[in-house]
Amino acid sequence: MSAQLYIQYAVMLLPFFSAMSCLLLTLFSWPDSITRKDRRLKLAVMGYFAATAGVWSLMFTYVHFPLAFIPLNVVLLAAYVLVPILLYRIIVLFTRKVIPRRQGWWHYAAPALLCGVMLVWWLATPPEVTRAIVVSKAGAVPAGYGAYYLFFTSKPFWRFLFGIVYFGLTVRVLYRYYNNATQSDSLVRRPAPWVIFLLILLGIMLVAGVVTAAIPRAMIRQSLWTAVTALAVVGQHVLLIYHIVCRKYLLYAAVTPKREEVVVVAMGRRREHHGAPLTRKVFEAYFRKEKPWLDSNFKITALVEAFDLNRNKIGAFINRTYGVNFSRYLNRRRTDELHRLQSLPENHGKRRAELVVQAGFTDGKHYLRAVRAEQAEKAAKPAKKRQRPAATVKKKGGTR
Amino acid sequence: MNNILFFEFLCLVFPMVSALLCSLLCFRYALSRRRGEASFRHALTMAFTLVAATGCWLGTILVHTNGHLYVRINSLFLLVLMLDQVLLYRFVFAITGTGKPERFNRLHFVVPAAITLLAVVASLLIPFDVQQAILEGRTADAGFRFTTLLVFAGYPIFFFYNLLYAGLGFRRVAKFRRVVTDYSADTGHASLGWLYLFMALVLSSIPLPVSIVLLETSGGMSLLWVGLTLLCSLLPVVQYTLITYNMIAGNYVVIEPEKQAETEARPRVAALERRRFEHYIRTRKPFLNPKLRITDMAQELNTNRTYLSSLINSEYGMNFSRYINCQRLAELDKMRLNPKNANALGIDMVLEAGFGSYRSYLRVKADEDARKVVREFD
Repeated sequence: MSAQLYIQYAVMLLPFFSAMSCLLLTLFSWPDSITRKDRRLKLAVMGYFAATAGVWSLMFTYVHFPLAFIPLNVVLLAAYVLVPILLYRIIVLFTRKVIPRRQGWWHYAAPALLCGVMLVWWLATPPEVTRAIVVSKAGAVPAGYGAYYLFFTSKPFWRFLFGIVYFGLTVRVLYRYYNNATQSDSLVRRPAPWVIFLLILLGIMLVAGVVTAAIPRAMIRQSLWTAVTALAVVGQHVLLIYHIVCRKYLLYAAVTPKREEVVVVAMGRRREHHGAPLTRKVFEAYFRKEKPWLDSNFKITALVEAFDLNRNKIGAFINRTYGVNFSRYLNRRRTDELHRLQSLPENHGKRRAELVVQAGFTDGKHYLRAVRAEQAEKAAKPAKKRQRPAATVKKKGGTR
Repeated sequence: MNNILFFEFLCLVFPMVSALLCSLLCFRYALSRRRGEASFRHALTMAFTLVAATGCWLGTILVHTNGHLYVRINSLFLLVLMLDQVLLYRFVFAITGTGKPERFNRLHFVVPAAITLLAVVASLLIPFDVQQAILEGRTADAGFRFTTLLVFAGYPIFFFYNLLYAGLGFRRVAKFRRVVTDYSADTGHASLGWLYLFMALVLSSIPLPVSIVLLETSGGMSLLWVGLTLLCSLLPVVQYTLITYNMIAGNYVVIEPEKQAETEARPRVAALERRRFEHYIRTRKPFLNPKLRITDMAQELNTNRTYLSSLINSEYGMNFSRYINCQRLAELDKMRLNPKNANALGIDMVLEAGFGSYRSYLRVKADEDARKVVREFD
């Protein structure tokens, strides 16, 4: 057997091997599932990998063991149409927190009907007719069985049709997800890079699938498009399984708008100008970019270099702008960070004691101290407010 | 197409693809960590281990499919065969440290380098076509014994290295497990049961290649041969996915060395009596943290972990991990009795009580119940 042939076989089975490996990885992660949603998601992921493994192993069987393929042709059709449906289900489960919805049973009705028709028609047709079609790689049209031939060989068409429909549905779900998520307080502006990459790979698969359907079936193994599709599928697997295993279900990333980048660049130029005025915009842009609150040892002296101002001026600026001192301001950012960390799916089930350190507090004691300080301030505020109305009324009376 | 050859080929490609996929995941995970973090180093070590594993399978494929290329890269193949196990042991070494300062012996890398150098020199001295002829069985001349050894060195090296490093790994994990119970109360992650399973899989895969070759030479392409070949393919896949998952999920506890300066600076509080300790446990409830380490408590109690560990051992007759888990069980019982928790889910209460997972709670509960039974019989 030549090396080229070996490579062709290996490429064609690449998605099968990667799907089986990813299936195992998901199985190993099953006992570590914390919630029922976790388990449901992993079940959908396992189903997706199993269906993909089915598609590629059966395609291979069709090319190399056509007679063995015949009783499995309905399974291939089922696997073809289930892959995009299951991927859509995974995306629906990812986005459920923001768009609570269930995937209706009717998503599975169409594939069930299709496979049912294929099964019945296949069983009703003489075996030698099916054998002739499969062995000739759809080259021979048995006399009198034109309609059966067309339906039997239409699997690539259904694969493409379901692929394009569910690609559209997936994009629609993601679009609604990002729109809804943007309306919340957390900084959500654009999809996470891995989601974009996943969609690109899906697109490549669809295009490659169309091209592959157009080439003679006897040439599938040698076709470059088969290799392209196989590699795109493996890429999808790697992306999906990584985010499942790491529990990084977040589909969005916080963004640094271009405006802030300009401000940060301008800030760099300001360092040449000693004592330039510090504004809220510049200050907050620095904090958003550098996230200094994550460093539990961060001191105000580090800001001196960043803003080219002495610490008294920086301290006075923070006091004037935010009404608190530097330490309290930093602790507020850390508390916000803690809340953000607690909202992330990968941190569900984690104790607060662990997250407070990630958020920038030295330990739980410092976090509690910061919380008590905020609570004490909030309690003091109503007392101050009650005093003001009397003074205001006098003032109004005085004005009249 | 020769079906047997083809079946063998597929059985070799599967673990290769699996190793490659797992190495990609490890590299990806390493990129997401900070450079100085231990998890970055662990991920990188595992990634390179899996790259070496991919190389091993690629070499094995070449043995069967392209003797011409194989004899030219034979030395490289021997190197990756050895590095695969050395790097794997490096990873095990890193995650099973007992807190004492220790360095990974450079001999682990020197020996493979020396063997590879010898193989390179020998390979250059012996004509490649002679080596290829021996590989393909076209000559069995007794004069080529050394060449035969060179060409088929992979088998004894595979056998020896897998056996040696699996043994070293077992010993290391056993020692770690004795120490970790006095360091961490994170039962789920500290047990390293998955690593034991992994090494057991490594050991069980050792006799497979030789058995397959023996069956082939005895002319028996039987069901047994098919089964063994499949097993030889599937076992590594399970190994790679098992270790990759547990590495990425962080299912291990690293015992950090106690800083010398801190130990000396902190006064050894001889008066850390049971009463003060129990007051601390009752009021601060450190056991609610599933990742609690003895060093965290030692810091808060202003003592060192050795002293604290011996206090727990002497006062309660148990190690740190068991003590903390008993506190968690007691807390869980209290929560169950509280009417506010009447509608709470069992798993939620288990996690609130400080257990890392429902599985680790069940394990702890089973252990304690077994101890009660033993005490009753005593």
